[in-house]
Amino acid sequence: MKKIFYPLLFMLLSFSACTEDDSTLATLDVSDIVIENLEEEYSVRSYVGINLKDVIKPTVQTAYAADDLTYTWYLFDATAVNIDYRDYLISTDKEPDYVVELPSGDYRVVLEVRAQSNDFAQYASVLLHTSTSYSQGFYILKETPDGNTDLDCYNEELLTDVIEVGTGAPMKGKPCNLSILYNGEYVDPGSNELAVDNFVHVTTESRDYKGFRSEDLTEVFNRDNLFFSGPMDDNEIPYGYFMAYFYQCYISNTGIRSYGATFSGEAESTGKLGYPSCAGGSKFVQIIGWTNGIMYWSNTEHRLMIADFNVSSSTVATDTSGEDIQSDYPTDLECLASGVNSTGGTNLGWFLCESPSKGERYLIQSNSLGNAIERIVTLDSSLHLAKSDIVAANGRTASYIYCVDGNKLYAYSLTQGTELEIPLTGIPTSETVTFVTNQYLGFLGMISATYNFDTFIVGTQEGYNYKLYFYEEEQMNGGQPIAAPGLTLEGTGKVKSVRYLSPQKDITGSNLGFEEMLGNTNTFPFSD
Amino acid sequence: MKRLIHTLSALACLLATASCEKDLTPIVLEEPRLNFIYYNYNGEVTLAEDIEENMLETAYSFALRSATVGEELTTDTVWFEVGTMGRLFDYDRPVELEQISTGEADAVPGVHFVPFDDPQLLSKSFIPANQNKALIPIVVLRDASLDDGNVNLQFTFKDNGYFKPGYEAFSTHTLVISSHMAKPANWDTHYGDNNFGTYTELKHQLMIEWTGNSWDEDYLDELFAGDSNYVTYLSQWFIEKLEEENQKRLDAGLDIYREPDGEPVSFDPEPWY
Repeated sequence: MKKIFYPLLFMLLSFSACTEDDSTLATLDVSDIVIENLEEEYSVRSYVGINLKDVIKPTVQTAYAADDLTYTWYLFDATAVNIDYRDYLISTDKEPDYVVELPSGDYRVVLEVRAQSNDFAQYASVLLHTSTSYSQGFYILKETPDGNTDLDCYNEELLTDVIEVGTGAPMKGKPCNLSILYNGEYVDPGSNELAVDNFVHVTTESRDYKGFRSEDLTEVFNRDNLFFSGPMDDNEIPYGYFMAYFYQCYISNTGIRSYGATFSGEAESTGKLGYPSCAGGSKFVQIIGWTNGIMYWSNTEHRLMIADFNVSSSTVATDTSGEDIQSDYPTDLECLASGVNSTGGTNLGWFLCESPSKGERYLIQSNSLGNAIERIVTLDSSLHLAKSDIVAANGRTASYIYCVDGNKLYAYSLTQGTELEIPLTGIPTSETVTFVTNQYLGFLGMISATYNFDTFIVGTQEGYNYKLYFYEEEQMNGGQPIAAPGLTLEGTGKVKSVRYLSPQKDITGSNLGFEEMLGNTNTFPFSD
Repeated sequence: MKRLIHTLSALACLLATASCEKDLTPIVLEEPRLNFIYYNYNGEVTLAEDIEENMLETAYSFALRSATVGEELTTDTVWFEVGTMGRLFDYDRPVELEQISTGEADAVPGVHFVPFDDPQLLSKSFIPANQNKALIPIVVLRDASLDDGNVNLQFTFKDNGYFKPGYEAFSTHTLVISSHMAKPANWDTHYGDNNFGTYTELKHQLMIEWTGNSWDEDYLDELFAGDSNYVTYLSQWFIEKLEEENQKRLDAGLDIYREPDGEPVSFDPEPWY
């Protein structure tokens, strides 16, 4: 037995392996690295030479020596999934030395601070919203001194006559309407691929029409290429665009033409349009309940119409019992202004009309669902609203219709039918008030609320020079200015309309429908 | 005993360092085979379980092709993509088709198509060296008998010593040859009736004439892969165009467009449900 012990021992040893503990106890101190002085979100404009190091300025608290630390900055599309952020390095400087030349969108910026002595690192990230000079801001539709149409655009600075700058000439004729269409689809003239962008659509009283993508204000659509059938007939009077739940809609005197709105955000359509549906149209369109239909004024029918939410047909709007209440009123009605008011949990659409033959004005008010007429009020001729040519809606802060009469601002109460004068704090009485509007974004979260705002804008005019006074939320209370305006713009031309364009990509018809499910309609004004 | 112990010790050492290895037998497919290749809507090769009836048949219309190319064709070549099973070879391998009799309006070799054993045809029918797929031609002939009705050319792969037929579902195909308009095989899959009304040969002819487009399978695939709003527009456009053309005919003292059974031509879409 002893004799086989050693061979067996040898066999066992032959299966053995050696290990040696080469480790040592930690000899370096691991101090913390604290990254401070960062906001959660930043907004910058692209393509204007802004360097991130002038915007994002973190401070780092640590016991490590300064020359022991490395700084690495990464930037990537915030909506991207399954990516390694280390593939998107933009800077290895202490400050992010990176000139922002990015398409409009949301980006994530990550800072990594690492101690080389022990590889300990800390990270911080912020959200970066980018816009171009054209993809965000207030667009000002104006009549040029020679009686044509152009746009000014305010995004931190006022860019003037951007249509003439971009296309070589202003649009022909006096301005008619300015409409914003989010997530419009088109064929990118550069790549010849289907694409999606927010759009600025402009129409004039001479029936000119142009549709610009907001990223760089490239003219994409015009009278010659909007229809599948070829150039528009001479009798086509374009009024503008609006968004319905399932469709992106163009409205003209021939009705409403539409294409299916993208749900995914990916382009599926050329944005070109086929045959119209519905009877007539105008620039006055309001959607009070997305699934209840679209209320619009028809200049050809001289009536308030309701199109179904598929925009496939229209009927003359009736009262809640189905009665043709409009038949009691003159047949020559013209619409002067319209809006939606959402206060106290109630939505109310209104259309201010006038009968040229009778010289009377009527206020058609919708029910809260936006699928019938609640009542039609014949305005007493003593009311300023019955005389004013400058009328605008209050959207979300007071149940008012604003009007200007005798160079004074009045508010007509939609609930009381009475009026009150509203002092225009901070505006010299020597200036002539020629324009008012309430612009706002009011999303609850199904669509990002990052850009929400509510601004009351008053315009004054001296010849072809305009001033626009912006009363921001902190300068307003209950729909009335309580302090001097926070911003004043001055430019050339006669202001016809002002619309705010958000750089957001998530304002789709379906998301607007989801907002409605949260009880939130009237998220931004269509027309006024 | 001592020797035995030493021997055991040595054996133990050897065993401790030993490992096993066995040569694997390479997979050899003795009989290369051929299959027709079909694609689904996403452009991916169709698997057996996903194959659809309409994939197994191709309609060839001399009238449609002539309208597409802009000349009256009396002969034409139809290409079919085939793929191999088995390993690649470093030389060209001939492919030969053979007709299957269906007993119902079978195409006649030399009358409706160039015989499959034609030397010139065979010279074009091969899998190139080191390739696993190729396009194989069938040359169709426009015979006067086609005016009396369509003919069916059902075919499979002939065992020519290089290849045998592959999977049953992928080794037989039918070519329907006609001289008049033929309903494109993908008309129904694109819901043509729901967009342009029930298919008729006269409507098909008018669609080609009025638009200048071929309205064959390729065109339909391209049309329906594009802007659906354009299809909707075309649907309405044909209705209006028909009204316009009918009026012109009436003004000229002619009858409106009618189908062979006397029914007025209609582009009214069939309801979706």
